[in-house]
Parts: sequence; C-alpha cells; structure tokens
Amino acid sequence: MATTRRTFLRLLGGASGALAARLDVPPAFAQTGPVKIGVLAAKAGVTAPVGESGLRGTQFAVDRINAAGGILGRRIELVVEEESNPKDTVERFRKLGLQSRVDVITGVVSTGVGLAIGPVAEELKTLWLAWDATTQKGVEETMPKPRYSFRSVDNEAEAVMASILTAKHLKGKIKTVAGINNDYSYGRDNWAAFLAIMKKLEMGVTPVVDLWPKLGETNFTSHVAALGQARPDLIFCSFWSADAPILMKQAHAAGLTATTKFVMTTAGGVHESLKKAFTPEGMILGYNSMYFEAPNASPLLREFVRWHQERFKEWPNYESDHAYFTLAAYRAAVEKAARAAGGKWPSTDQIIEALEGIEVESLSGKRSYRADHVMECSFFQGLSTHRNKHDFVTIDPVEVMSTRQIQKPSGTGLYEWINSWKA
Amino acid sequence: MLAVQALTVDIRASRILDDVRLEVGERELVCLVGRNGAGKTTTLRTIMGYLRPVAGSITFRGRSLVGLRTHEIAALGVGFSPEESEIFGDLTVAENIEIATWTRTTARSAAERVERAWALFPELRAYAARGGTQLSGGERKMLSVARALALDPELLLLDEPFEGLSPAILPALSQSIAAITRLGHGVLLAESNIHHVPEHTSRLYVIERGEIIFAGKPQDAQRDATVLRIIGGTVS
Amino acid sequence: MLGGVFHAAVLFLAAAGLQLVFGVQKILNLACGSFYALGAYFGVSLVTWALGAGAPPSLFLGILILSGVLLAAIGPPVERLLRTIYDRDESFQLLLTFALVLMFEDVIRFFWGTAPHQLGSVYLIYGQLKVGALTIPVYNLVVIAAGATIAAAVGWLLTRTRFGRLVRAAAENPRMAEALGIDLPRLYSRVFTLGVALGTVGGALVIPATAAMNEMGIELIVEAFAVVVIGGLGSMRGAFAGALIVGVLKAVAIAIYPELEMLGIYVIVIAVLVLRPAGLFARAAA
Repeated sequence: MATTRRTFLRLLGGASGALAARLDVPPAFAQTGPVKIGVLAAKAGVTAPVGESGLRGTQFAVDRINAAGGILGRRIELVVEEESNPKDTVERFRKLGLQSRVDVITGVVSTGVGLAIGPVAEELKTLWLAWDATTQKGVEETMPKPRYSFRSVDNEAEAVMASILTAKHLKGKIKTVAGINNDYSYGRDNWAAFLAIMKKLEMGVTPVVDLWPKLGETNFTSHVAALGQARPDLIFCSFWSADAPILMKQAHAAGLTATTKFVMTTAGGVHESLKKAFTPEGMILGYNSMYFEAPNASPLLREFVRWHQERFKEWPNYESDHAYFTLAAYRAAVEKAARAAGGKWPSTDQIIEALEGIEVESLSGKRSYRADHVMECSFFQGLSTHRNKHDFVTIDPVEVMSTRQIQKPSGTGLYEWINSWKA
Repeated sequence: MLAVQALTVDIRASRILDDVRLEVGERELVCLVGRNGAGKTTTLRTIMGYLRPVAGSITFRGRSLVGLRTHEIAALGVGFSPEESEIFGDLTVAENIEIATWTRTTARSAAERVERAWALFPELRAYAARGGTQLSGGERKMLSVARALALDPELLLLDEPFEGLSPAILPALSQSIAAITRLGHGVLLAESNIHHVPEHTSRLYVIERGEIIFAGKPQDAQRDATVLRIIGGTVS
Repeated sequence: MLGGVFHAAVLFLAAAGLQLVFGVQKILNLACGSFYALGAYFGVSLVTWALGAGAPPSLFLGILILSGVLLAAIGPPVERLLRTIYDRDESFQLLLTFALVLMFEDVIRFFWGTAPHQLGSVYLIYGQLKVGALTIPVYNLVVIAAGATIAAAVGWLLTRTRFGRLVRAAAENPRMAEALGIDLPRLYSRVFTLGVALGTVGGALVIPATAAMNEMGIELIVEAFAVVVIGGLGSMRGAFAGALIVGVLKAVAIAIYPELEMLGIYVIVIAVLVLRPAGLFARAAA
C-alpha cells in the first residue's frame, strides 16, 4: 500500500515528463474547439465610446461568422480585456497571449497603448490586428517592420482628405485659418498636416491662431472667445470625442458659426451628438472610414446599421468597421492559408503571409492590408446638411477617397509624400 | 444630583483614574483639588462623555451618563467650561454666549438666559460685538463660564477657572461662581491650588495619581497632613 | 474674459463644496468632482424627461437647479460612509474619497453608459446678447449670476444665520461645540449635503453649454484644487477669489498665448504655495 521510493520516483518522472511534454507543444493551437480571439477595448475614459463601438462591430462579426459555421468549422470565442494605460494593457496583452492562449488579439484605440504593445506582440509572436492607434509620431520608430502587428490606417488620413476637400470647396474664399486641436500627437499631427497641405496646394492662407485644449476639456468658452477675436475665415478642428459637439455648441452660441467656415476632420465619430440646433450646414465633416448612410451602402452595411439601431438605438460609427475588418480579414486569411496548407489549420506565420495583401468585404466596402501591414480602405467626408430625418447633421454630397489617395505610401514620410504631390 | 461611583479610566492602556467617587448635590459647590496631572481634567472630561470609563458609573439625576454622546449629556443639563477656555474665535462674544440657547431649551427664555450670563460678568458686555480672538486670557475664562451658564445647566463643570488669571480679578470670579450656585446650579470645580478654593465650598475632594485621597469639608482638608503635603504649598 | 468668468462661476460652486466640507469636517473630499459629474448627468436626464413630459422649455433652468438639489439626497448616506474616517490619517481620507470617485464613475457608466450626454438645444433659449462684435449667450450670464447669487447666499448662511454660526463653531472646535449641545453627526450630515448640493447644482448648471462626460469629475477636481490652494483651504472667500483667478487667467492665457494655459495657473499655485502657503484667504470657513 505504501508508496515506495520507486513508485514515487516514477510518479515524479511521469509528472515532469508530462510537464515537459506540455512545454514542448508550440504555443500554437489546439486544432479543435473554439478559436479564441482576444479583444482589447477601452471601457473608461474619453476612449470608452470608441472601444464600445469597436466591441459592437466585433460582436456583429462574430455572430455572423459563427452563424456561418465559424472559421474552418471552429466557432469563435471572445476573450475581452480592457484597454487602459499602456502598462496595464501590455500586461493584459501578455495575459491574453500566454494564459488565455488566444489565437489572435484585436483592438486598441490609443496610439500610446499601441506603441507599447507593438514590441510585445513581436516578442510573444502573438498576432495583433489593431483597430486604430496609429498617429505618425513613434509608430515608424517603434514598429519599423512589424511582423506580428497589423496596423490600422494612418490617423492623418482624415486630415489629408479634409485638407483636399478644403481646397476643393474653399480655394480663394478663405484667407485666414485657425486651428483648435487636442494637445497631443494626434491633434498636433493633424494641424501640421493641414497647414502643410494648405501650403502645397497654394491656398494662400495664413494661420492666425492655434489653440490646444487638452483631451477631455469640456469648457471652450475661453477658446471660443479667442477664436472670435482672431476672426479667422476657417476653423480647423480634429476633435473626435464629446468635445466636438461641445465646441460646436459654444461656438454657435458665440455667433461663430454664422461667420466662419468649419472643418471637423473626425467629428463623424460622434455624429449623433452634432445636433442641427448648433451645427451649421456646409461644414466639412469627416466620418473616418465608414459612413452609416452611404448612398451606395452595401447590403452588409445596411444589415449592420439596422442591427445596431435595433440593439443600441444608435447609428453606428467607423470604429465598428475597423473592428469588423480585423475579424473578417483574419477569417479570410486563415481560410486562404489553410487551402494552401492542404486544409490543415495554418500556423501563425502562414496566417501572416495570407494577411499581407488580403482584401475582404467590410462594412464600409472593400478593405485590405498592405504588404507592410497597414490597412487600406475608403474615407467618407462631405459637407454637413440639415436635410435628413435625424436631429443631427449628416453629409451631402458624400465624398469617398481611398487611402491609396490620402495615406502616405509604404516607405515614405508624411511630409516628404505631401511635398511630392504634383500641384 | 451627580454621583460618580468607582470610576476607572485608562488612556492608551495606562490607568489615569482609579476608583474615583464623588458627589455633587443641588446648589452645591464642590471642588476637586489636585496637582497638575492628578486626574482632575480626566474626571471632568469623562463626565462630559469625551472619555469612556473601563469601569464605574456616572449618574446624573438618576440617569447613567456612561455611553451617551457629549451633546446628549449637554442636552441633559451639564455645562462645561474647559481648562483652556476654548471659546470660538470665529464668533463674536455675543454669539459665543447665544449658541447654547439654540441647542437646548429650558424653562427659562433664551433672552433671560443670555441676560443672566451677561449679569454675571458685566464687563463682558462691552465686548459683545468683538471677535472671540480679541479677548484677553481672563476675559476668555469669563466668557467660557458665561457660555456654559447660558446652557442653563443643572450642573456646571468648571475646569481650573482661576488658572492664569491676574489676582485682581480672582475675587470677582469667585463671587460670580458663588452667584451661580445661588441661581440654582450645582457646580463641580477643578482646581490645583487649594488657596483658590472659594469660601462657600460645600465639599472638597483631593485627587492624587488618579485616586481620591480626601473627601470632606474644606476646613478639614486644611488640617489634613497628607493633603497639605501634597497640595498645601503649591502655587500654580 | 467673460468666458473666464463663466468658467469661474462653475468652478466656484464645485470648489465651494470642497471648501465647506474641508472647513467643517476636515475631509479633503475628492468626490466633489463626482458630485459635479453626477449633477450634470442627472440634470440632462431630468430636463430631457421634463421637456418630454411637456414642460415649457424656458423652465429648464429651474428644472436644472431642482435636479441638483434633489440629487443632493445622496449626501447623507455618503457622509455616513465618510464618518468612519474622520479621525483617520489624511491619506486614508484621500484613498476613500478617491475610491468614491471611481465608484461614482462606475455608477455613471451603469446608469448612463459611456457615451457623452447632452441637452440638445436649450442653451440658446434665453437668446444671445450682442455687444459690439461680441456675441454672448444669455445663458452664460445666467450661470454667472447664479454663481454669484449662490456665493452670496452661502456667505449669508454662514455669517448671518444660526445654522451658519453653529457650523462655524463646529468647524473651529468640534469637541467644544458638542459640549454646548451641538449634535455633530447631524450637523456634519447637513453640511456635507450642502457641499454635495453645491457640486451637483454646479454640474447641472454647466450642462446646457457642454456635454456630460464621465471624465468631467476628475477634470474638475484638478482645477478645483488649484482654486483652493490659491484661495486657501477651507475658506469660502478663498474659493470665490481662487475660482475667479483661475477662470480669468485661463481665459487670458488662451487669448494671448494658448500654450501657457495650464502653466500660468500652476505658476500662480506655486507662487502662492511659496509666498503664502496657507492661501490668500487663510481663515476657517466664512
């Protein structure tokens, strides 16, 4: 009955053998059971609504894929973690990769967080498909040639498009411009890109004032007063959160909207809050990469908008599409790579190869990943209008530009690229 | 009226009062005499509910005060004038006195109670509108006693009312305290200098190291050798 | 300039709540920012509901103030919780009130979600005032007037009423106040509730001009602290002067050299800390 030394040793050997065997298994994937997908979504702070929008797009994609039998017959199971500050989010990223052993991680909105995660994704060899998180500064330096990270579109694309539209609609009509942008890299980069393009396109405009409220500011009465004093012909603003409607409301109350043109590059992300009561018509308004009422909306977009409206009583914004695309692209890449590998579940490397250059139908239309792991998609902007059934503004006409047109190509710098434009 | 039985109090695990017994009857002036640190202030503060005894009882008009909150004890009719006067510098002299009439109603009207406080210390009246911080030490002492009196308490606890006062005003204050008992209030007065004990004191307790070592008439205390050895020569 | 005064009016209300509670209970209540944010959300909801139920839009100001006052009902239970740490170290107080901030953030998320809430179009109901080239929304003036009125009312309450005198007595010497029959727990509960009301009314009043966001609480705490450091902890007059200084300075900085907005405020904060560490008005309540 007693455990002899020999049996004990055997037990010990067996246990350590089993342990060793487990460690031998590459951190790859059981080829049965669900596909585990980690999601990092902001739940608190200014980015919370953006994270929420991404989660909605994710849920919609997962419901559809699972209803159609999953990926190669494996259902998707989501493991959602919170995106907060860079340090904690990196820890959660590690946890998803090492502990939850997810097959792929999507998400992340903040560039600061993204910059911290990039190197960790390489280190863990964990595939990460970012939703957003890609302003200019730092991304090139930190992730020069990422293998395991797939990036979103350059965040300046909306400023580039808005600047081109500014030239198209207002050339010769404006002489002075003012900027009000959040005091961090996104805001600074957008304003710089705008000024560079104004110069390149020979708009002949002079910047009269640039204001830098910090992200999360809710009172712009003093900024509006400063804008009123400077009396610019055009105000350029890259707000994307609740500060956009607040600024509009306070600018309108101070009579600015009557005399000054506005460019809001990204406020389409909070479009429902731009009430007609204080948002003028004729403002250049950007919806980023998805416009919920696109005139030639695909059946997929219509279905999503309907689903979103029924479920949340809200009209969706672009972050849902970023998130949807990452999952649709992952699924397509796995299936493509599996075909090449003779039907077996592909390795991470095979999936990465398949992702490079892949094109799939996303909510907003065709989207793809470039070979350098950057997204290609379309951007939607236009002039704001009150002629719609909502209490908020929409755009008409809707202008669509591909990132091939408004995003710097692989291997060049933003300003180098802008300066290379032919006039 | 007030009966303290076998009162034992510890502060931070060291015994400060041990088996203290004392009584104050209606209209009596009772003095608790002892050196600094003997336990006088602790006795008064325990009666006021600031400190909780480990053993013993405090009954006031048949009601136990142990476990009651300080403001409830005040509401029952126990007034307190602490050693450091502790008048409110942020309020005027008049407001300091009036406060007690807002927190406790008695058979006497508020106006009458305030008037009695003024009458006891007529010199305070001139400073009615002054801020509490502008008073001298003696004036603060008087205000502190007047304020406690405005509560219209049945029992008044006075902690060293004579300490630090110029000898010139001692007789006046002593008279005023005598007047308080004539107004119908009982007084328990803590004092470190036996020579300051007012003449009309009904009973005197001497406290030393937290224990009552003498209880009786003031005259007897003056003749008691132990008492004299401990507090006889002290001039504080 | 006027923009700065508008900001100052709101800042004053929140800072006054902080000051009152610190002056009396000696608690540095970080959650004052949460009351401000809650006031904003609750104000949006109540006005939206009232207008939906057919209330005339011009009444919205009254409804907002009412919503702030109603919401102050959370004061007594929160005070009951804080009572456990009155005698503890300041760091415990900061920890607990910061925990409250986080809890209230979740409360807001639970009831109102993560998306910002705003009141559509009541902001301009009272019209706009044209002064030369300047257009000023009348509502901004209403808020400034409300801030000044509440400042005067609180001042009157503290200096001229019985309640105010009891509060000042308790603030100066709580032990002695008890010996004079003041029921401290009840007084604390009332003072705290008044402090809450100042915050919630402030949050409700600002909402027509802005949008309710979860971060607005923390945002405000940062500025409110600059206000109390400049004005002097615990002083109402300090809150008033501090709010004006911060608000106007901010406006001037934005107009002249926007980069200096925050720097300017903190230069003053540091100057006050070095030259007059107790603040410009270093007296307990009043």
